[in-house]
Amino acid sequence: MQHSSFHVLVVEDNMGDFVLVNEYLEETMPQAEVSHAQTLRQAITLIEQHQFNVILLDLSLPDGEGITSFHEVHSKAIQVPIIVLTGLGNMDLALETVKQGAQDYIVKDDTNPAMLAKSIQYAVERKKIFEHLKASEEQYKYLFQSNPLPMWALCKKTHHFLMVNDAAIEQYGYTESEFLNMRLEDVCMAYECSPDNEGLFELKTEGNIFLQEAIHTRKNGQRLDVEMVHHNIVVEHNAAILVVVYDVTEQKKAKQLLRESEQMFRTISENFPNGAVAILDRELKYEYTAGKEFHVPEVDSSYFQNSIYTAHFPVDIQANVRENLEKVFDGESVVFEATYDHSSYMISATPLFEPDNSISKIVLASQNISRQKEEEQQLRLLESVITNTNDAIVISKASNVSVGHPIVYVNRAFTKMTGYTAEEIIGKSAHILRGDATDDEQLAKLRDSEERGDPCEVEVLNYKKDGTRFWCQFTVVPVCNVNGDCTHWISVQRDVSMRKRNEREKELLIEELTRTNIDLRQFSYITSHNLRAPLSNLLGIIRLLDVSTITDPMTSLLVENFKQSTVQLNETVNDLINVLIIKNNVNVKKEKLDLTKTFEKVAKSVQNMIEEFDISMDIDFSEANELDMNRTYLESILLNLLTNAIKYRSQEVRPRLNIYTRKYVDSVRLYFGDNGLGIDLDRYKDRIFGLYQRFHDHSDSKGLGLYIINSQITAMGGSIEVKSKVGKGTTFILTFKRES
Amino acid sequence: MIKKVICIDDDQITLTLCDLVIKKAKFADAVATSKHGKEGLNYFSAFFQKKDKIEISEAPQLIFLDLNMPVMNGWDFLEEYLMKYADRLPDVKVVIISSTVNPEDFSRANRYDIVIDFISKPLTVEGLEDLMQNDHLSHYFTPDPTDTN
Repeated sequence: MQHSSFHVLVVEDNMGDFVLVNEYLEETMPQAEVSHAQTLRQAITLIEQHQFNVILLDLSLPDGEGITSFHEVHSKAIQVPIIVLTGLGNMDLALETVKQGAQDYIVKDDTNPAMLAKSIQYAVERKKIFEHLKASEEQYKYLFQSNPLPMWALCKKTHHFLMVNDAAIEQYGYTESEFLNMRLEDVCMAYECSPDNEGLFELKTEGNIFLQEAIHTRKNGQRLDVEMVHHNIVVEHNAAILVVVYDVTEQKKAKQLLRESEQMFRTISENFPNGAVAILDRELKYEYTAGKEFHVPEVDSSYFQNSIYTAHFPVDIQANVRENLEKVFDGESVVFEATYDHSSYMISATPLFEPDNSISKIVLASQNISRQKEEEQQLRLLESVITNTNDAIVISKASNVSVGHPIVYVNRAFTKMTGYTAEEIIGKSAHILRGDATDDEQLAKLRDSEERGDPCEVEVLNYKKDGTRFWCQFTVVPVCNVNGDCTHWISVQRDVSMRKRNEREKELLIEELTRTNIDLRQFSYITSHNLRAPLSNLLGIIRLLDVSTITDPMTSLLVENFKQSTVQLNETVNDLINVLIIKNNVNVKKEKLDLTKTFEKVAKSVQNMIEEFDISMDIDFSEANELDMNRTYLESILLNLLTNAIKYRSQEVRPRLNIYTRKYVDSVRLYFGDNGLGIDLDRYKDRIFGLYQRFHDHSDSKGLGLYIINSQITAMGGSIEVKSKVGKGTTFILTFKRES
Repeated sequence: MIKKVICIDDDQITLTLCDLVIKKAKFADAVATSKHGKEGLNYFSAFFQKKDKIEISEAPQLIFLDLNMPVMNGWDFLEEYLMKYADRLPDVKVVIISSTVNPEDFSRANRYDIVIDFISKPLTVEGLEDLMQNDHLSHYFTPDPTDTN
């Protein structure tokens, strides 16, 4: 092994001893080269010049003594094994040098060549091992101390820091000495388990090496998200735990960010309003999809899993969809519409670039825009209404009222009505249509309501472009923004000249009619007065005339006939006057009338007729006995009905009247039936309540009774109907309004 | 019985009839007549003029007044009478006798306190007998023989 290059330095001042040693060496290690130094100085010089494999050192040298010599030599040749040569008296000293690092000692007087060789060999090997050990220990220390990861050795029992490395010091901000006075728990805020009674976390060290998450704090209070690995070691014969700390704060942050952004993407995609989001691969196959509304009705996202996007479209538009999407793989973003099954979707797709700028996926969003489409159409329809309507429509921007609102839109009808084209009038105000004849009062009304922001309707005389005047009826409505501020005015205008003319004519006509009517009424009053005046004189005279004094029978007859004619004339005139009064007097007083009592009173006045013709009467007013009616009218109506029933009684059966009432929510009906002659309604239906209509050849029929009844009940807001069969009888149904 | 009434009417026959009926019904002792409102006013002025003055005791207690008359109609007469003489003749009342059918006339008559009745022509004995029951006039017709004014 060592032979050719094995170099021995013998430091020995005693020549005798050197020779002996040399002899031994030559005997056992003939190849070894031996150098000799007699003093410490000499030895050091040689050590500095040569590389020795072993040094044999006598401790008692002229320039050095005992242990000091050893230290001198050892310090100069720390790698070289040293064997101390000693005398019998210096055993303790020799032993001490071994403790300090010498490999062995040899008692000079008690040795032999084999022993020396063996000692040298052992020393060299031992030194090698030692050096190796030392190097490895240093390496280990270096690994610990210079490790880029923070590391600690902890006392297993108390978790006090026993060793800390530079990375830990740097990471946590504590100095080494601060650390050595602290426990793990002083920096560890949270661990995977809760601390025990003594406030210590249980650090698991059995079995595999554990990677456990914890939250630590730096000296400055900053949080550190870490993962710790720990396992058992022994430090200076004590059980300890080695802890390696991985800072995962950034990772955690990144993870959190990733999680959040994914969450965000999911939230957005899953809640994508009336549409869906999808990621497609190169084959247009779904990788992911989510949303509120897919372009296939009533399915959820799972329906699309692993399918090809275009497959869900009708065959005739698949190619178009594919063509559009293919463009995205060329790096283009596309937006297109797909319409089918009465629905429209707007699809926008954009490439997802890989880090190397290639595109293997695209993201697309589809949205159901059917409603927008519909609204758009609706809007277009509305617009066409505005454009094509026959009413002129003017939209002006709201501005200072006194200057007028600048017009922003007029439709065709406006141009047709005024002669102004849109180009001519836009930007100007509607004031251009006004002129001298325009009614200031109406304009003031318009201004007032505009100032208040209220809608307004006015009619004014306006001027066309050619100066022609026309009546313009227009309605102005404010248009407000979300804040309720009026931004525009819409006015709908119409040429009402024709209507105005008609109205004027109608007014004139009404005026004339009213005047004529008043004249006529006055005329009828005067006429009836003038008729009545002489008639009443006649009546007065007849009353005073004493017929008994007339002896000539002819004269007596004439006077009698004169008397009858006068009475008849008076009745007719009175009837006519009654009609006149009913027609003209709408404010006749109404009162609550007892039907039974009123009827009794009326019946009593014709009692002699009832008895004479043996009229049987079946009367039942129990359901409704009270009527809201004018007393005179009701008496007149009942009297007329009663006398009619008697006058037109049947000659074949006993006259029988059936009179009763029925009560309704807002009316009372009086049924007045007889079994008399009846009226041929098919013939007379239209004329039955007419003036001077007579249906029977009867001497005292004047054709006025039903006319008066109808007039009286109508004046009271009621009505009359008739049901009749010739030869069977007649029933009159009178409806009286009930006061609430 | 009333001592004296005056009938104001343009119709001579009416006036004659009134005179006959009033007397027949024993309604009044004397009946004066005027042909229209103006004449009626003149009749009343005679009681208050200085020259040729007629005693107030000769004045009538009741006026039968027609409405439609030439020269001055009944309403105009009534207005002027109220202004000039009514205060000085507090006991004198008015009964309108007319053949009018105009509802305006009826409601207008109601507005005057002095008008105590509205009689439609012709004036009859029965009509007068009803009138005797009127609160304003009944005192003239008490059966007490001592009270005969």
